[in-house]
Amino acid sequence: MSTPLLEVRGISASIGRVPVLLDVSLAVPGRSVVGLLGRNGVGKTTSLRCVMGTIAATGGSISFAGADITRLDAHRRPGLGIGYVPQGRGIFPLLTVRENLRLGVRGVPDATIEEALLNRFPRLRERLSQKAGTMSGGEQQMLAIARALMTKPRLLILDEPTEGIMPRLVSEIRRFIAEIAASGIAVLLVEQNLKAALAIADHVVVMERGRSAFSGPPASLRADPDLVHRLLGVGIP
Amino acid sequence: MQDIVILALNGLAWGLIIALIALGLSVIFGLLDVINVAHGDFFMVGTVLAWVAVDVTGSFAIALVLVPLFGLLLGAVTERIAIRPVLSTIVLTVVSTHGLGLMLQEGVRATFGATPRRLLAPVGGTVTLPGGVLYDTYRLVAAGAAALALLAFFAFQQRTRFGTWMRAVRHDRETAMTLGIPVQRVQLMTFSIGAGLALLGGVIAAPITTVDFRAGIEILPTCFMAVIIGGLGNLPGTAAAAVLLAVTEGVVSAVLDPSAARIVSLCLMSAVLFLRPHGLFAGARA
Repeated sequence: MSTPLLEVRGISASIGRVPVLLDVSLAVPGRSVVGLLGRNGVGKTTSLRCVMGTIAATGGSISFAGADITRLDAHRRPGLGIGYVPQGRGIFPLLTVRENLRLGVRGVPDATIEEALLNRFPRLRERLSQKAGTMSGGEQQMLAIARALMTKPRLLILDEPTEGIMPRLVSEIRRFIAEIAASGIAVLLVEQNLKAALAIADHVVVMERGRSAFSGPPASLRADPDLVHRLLGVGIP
Repeated sequence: MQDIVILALNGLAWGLIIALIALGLSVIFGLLDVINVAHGDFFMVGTVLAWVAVDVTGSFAIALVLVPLFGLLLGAVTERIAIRPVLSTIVLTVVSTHGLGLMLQEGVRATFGATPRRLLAPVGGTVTLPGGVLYDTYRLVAAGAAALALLAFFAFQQRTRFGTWMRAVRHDRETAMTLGIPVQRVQLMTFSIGAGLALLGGVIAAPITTVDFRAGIEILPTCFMAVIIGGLGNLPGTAAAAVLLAVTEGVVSAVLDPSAARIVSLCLMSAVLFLRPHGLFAGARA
């Protein structure tokens, strides 16, 4: 593995007084896709929120591009080149598509926004003046991904991007993610679908009860069905 | 009939001023979840400072510019000192703003005095309306100024980057943060704008109300009723509800009496709480 773009070392965190993360470590090298896997409630989303700074890490450290960002204000992190697509999409339903897209960028003319969307998200381009809440779940997810890309991130973090999406759009969203990765943007992906995650990821980290319990290439995980069953409760797809 | 028209117009003018103040209350609640019990006292400070500014400079225009600017400053200082330290425990913000309200009242009583005063309207005389109704010119000017301020606020919220940030933070502050929006700065400026609106309302209302350290206590319930009827955090709804309340009270006062008018308002609020708990204008959110 090359020098990590994002490095999380032994972080711990609590929500209220409940400890949720105990010891999570992971690394995302530049231009690679890392899958973060685990059963529901093991702390995957909380780990991402720690990386984004919306939950404070109470221990350990987080560094991005070599700089320690553990205590950096959350709103300063996107400016470093970290794009985030939260679980549940996180779009603003009462804002138009254009307003949603412009939230994370400054001083960019409308024409530039439309240009950026022209090739990759033609459906959004047709709906720039529409309220985001009136779009389908799949379109909202594309909007959330497009919005994160507007900031020209070096790392894109996606939290269950295909959750609750119509099956016919799931493959389209996965294709987007593969294209994004192919364009050189590093991706940290939380994905419930093990088969899809193993297909796209260069490296996987599996969490168990607030800890990172496995870290390695997908082939190593595939080679150990017992481990997969213990950590994920499913068989090898 | 003419009396009813005049009272309805009074209701409209007063309603637009209330709308301005209630809008401040609603924008603060919508974004910070803070029930600002001192909001009526911000209005009172506006009326008092308008009186002082006119007394010192002789110019109402100066008061109209300087007092709302002071309101922005007062709001910013309040957010930093009385709100932000206790924002994680919402009930403490009620205690904190209640304490601030008492400090403002006693501060004004100690310096300005307890005697109610009147501020002469900067525009005197009457105008003849269609139907031959003679109506106080300043009230029309006040209604126009309040309506203009409301429109300016909505344009600011819809057309500016900061306005979009305010709408985004109101919906989901965590996601807003992950997009690089400086949420704490948005909160500070929102509280500041809310206070500025209350003081602006105070300046506009000063010539048609009594300048008194207790004025905030009287106006706060009407503002809360407007916010509840309009829908919590629903800004256009709040403005519309304030006008509806004031016009209704104005007309009912003419037909029955002021006490009955207040009872009608309370019944309206109760009916809304029972039948449309999200507000009379739910769905018209900006």
